[in-house]
Amino acid sequence: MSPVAVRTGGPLEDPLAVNAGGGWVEVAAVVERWRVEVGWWRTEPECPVQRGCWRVLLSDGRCLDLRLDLASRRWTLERNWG
Amino acid sequence: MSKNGRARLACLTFPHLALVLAWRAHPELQGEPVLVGGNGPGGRQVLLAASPPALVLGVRPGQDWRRAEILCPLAVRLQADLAALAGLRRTARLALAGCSPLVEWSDDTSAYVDLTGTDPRRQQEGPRAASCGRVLQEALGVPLSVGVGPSRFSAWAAAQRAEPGRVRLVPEGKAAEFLATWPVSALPIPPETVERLVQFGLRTCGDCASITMVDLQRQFGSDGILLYRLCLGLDSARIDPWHEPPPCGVRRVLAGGVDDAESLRFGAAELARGLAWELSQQGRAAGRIRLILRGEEEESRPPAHLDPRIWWSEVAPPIPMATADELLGPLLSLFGRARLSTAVMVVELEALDLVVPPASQVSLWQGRAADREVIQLAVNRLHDRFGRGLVWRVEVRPGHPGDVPEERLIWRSR
Amino acid sequence: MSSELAGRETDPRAKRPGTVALELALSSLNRRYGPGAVHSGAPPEIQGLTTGVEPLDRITGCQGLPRGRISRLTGGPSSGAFDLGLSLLAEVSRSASTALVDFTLGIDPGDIEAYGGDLDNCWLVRPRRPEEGWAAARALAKAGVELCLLVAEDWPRLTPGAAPAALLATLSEGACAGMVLGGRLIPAALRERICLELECWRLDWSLAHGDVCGLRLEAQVARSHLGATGASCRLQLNFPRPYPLRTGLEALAEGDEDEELPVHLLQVAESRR
Repeated sequence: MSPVAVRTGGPLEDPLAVNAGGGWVEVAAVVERWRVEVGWWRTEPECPVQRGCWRVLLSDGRCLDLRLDLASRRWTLERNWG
Repeated sequence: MSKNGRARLACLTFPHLALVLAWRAHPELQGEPVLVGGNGPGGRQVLLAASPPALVLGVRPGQDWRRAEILCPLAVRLQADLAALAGLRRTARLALAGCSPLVEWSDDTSAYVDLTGTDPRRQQEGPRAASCGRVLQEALGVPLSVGVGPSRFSAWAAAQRAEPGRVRLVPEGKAAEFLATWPVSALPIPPETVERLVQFGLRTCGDCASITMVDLQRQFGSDGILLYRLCLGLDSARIDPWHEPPPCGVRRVLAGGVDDAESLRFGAAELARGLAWELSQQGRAAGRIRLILRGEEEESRPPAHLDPRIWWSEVAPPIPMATADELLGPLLSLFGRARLSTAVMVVELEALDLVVPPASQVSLWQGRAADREVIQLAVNRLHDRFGRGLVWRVEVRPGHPGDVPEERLIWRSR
Repeated sequence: MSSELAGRETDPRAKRPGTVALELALSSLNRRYGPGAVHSGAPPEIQGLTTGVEPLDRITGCQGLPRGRISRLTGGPSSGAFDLGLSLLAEVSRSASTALVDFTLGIDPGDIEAYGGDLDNCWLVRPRRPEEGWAAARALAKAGVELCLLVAEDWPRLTPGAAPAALLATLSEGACAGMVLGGRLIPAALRERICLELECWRLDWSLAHGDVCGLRLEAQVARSHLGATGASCRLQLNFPRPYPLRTGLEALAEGDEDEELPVHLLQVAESRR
């Protein structure tokens, strides 16, 4: 998992373009989106986990799993499939 | 070959070989409750096999012997003749090996034969499975059941449903349907998992197959994936083929000859280490070892029992020997028996009745216990050299659903 | 098997002039390119570590990954090479000890478990320095793991000069199959010691219910010391799912294929030679 830059848009704030270090690549399709909410009762130092996750197909053919931490608003590249 | 290239396995099930031997020795015991005991892990006495009338009373192979006696007080109690058992096992394996090169001897109650590749133009898989059954039946002298399916569990289940002396086929693509009514208690999964399944109301394979694999995984972890595959007949179809093991032994030529038995004993430790290494290369333990002392160094070696210039003896301890420590004691006892009529030029130590080492049988799914210890020692040395945090073992946190990948695993450095 | 006591003298054969020089040259070539690279007579038989996928085993030339040698899985981004490598590691771990040397420090071992692997049979190496990773690979191979998978993106930076030769020497003494994965460029010291190179490319993503659930890939023998190159096979690789499948009825969009969700197995679509 590594930090990644993402541009979003649309009514669902889906990723439109991703920069994982090699320049901006357009998102060709959002194939799935899901949400993870775990441990709402957690207190410091642990944190509740609230994140949105997207599986996207990029215009260069890659398939990535991206996640957005809803608390910190940070995007992370969770998985590069293939 | 089946139509879409999937595997087809035959499972042959038969009474435990120890029971077969007991019935051969005592034909009058057929139909009676019989318990056959033997040595289990750590040398304790366990139940090796029980006849059907005894099984009904709740005894189970692997149980402590005392417990089995309590559950079935009126049963006839016999001790397994391990040498005869090994001989019958070898006979049966060789008989099946004549039918197919891909035979796995699962335990002393079942065997698997890979039928994938049976040319439908020449012989259907049913007759081929039946011919394997006939060969083994002839070797054992007892009726057995044969099941054919696309995976190990479906083939085994089909064999359970087959009458003795008959073959039951699970048609291509019908494994899930065939397994639908099987109770989850028949699945090769931990009893705790069975209990939880029943609590969830999942009592049959069909019930489990109606749940998605992901949901089963969320509840049961990796057992859930296995459960899903088993219930659909999609578990492994791989055979671990048995081959007649190559001879295993060490030979030492003594320059000048030795005529003193005590002097020979000094070489026992080195012989034991050498044989232990040979056994480790094959991943086997010796049920029996033979020591041969020859008065002449010669390349053409007649069988030891025919040549008067050769002294030899054997020992078969209760527990198979795999390590140098385990071999040394019995080897010293053999040297102690040696009677030398001439100076010894050649010492040979042979391992016979090769078996999977007992510790490995217990942790079969986890790889050989002895190998893991060796790897752990290597890891310890790496940590001493480079510091902790280089080599890790990881396990899935029990009960974690997997939604948060970074919390799903427990990392251990040593 | 028999062996002789040390100390028994054998008379050395007189060697003809030129024989020693030839032997030195052969020894040097075998050290550089791997044991058995140059030999007289029939090539030494190499045992294969089965991958569990029969067509893949068939195209390698030794019924699996060559034991005692180094193989390589290569392919572009999203070619399937990375996930194929993890799947093979998972498959082998179900019956034998394996090691994963992760120079990227980013592989999630949960993926191995998700691919059906046995984490109890996996030893994970996360080296802080390159030489640590190579030393760990040698040590674990010598200790008896049957598959040692090394993963990196920047092989030229992470490969000390003599490391591949040392690893190959260790592998050749035992039954461990080595495999390197990742990165496009590899240094010559490593390239020369690779016995089998499988190149992967993605044929298509597999879709189910509108989601990417796997991919179809083709693996081809690009280089081989074991036989002819060019043999290939097609594989269906199904990804583990990070979330439950949506339940309930949904309207199908025009042109959607309602494929049955494949179970999590490494299946074979077809193979050709």
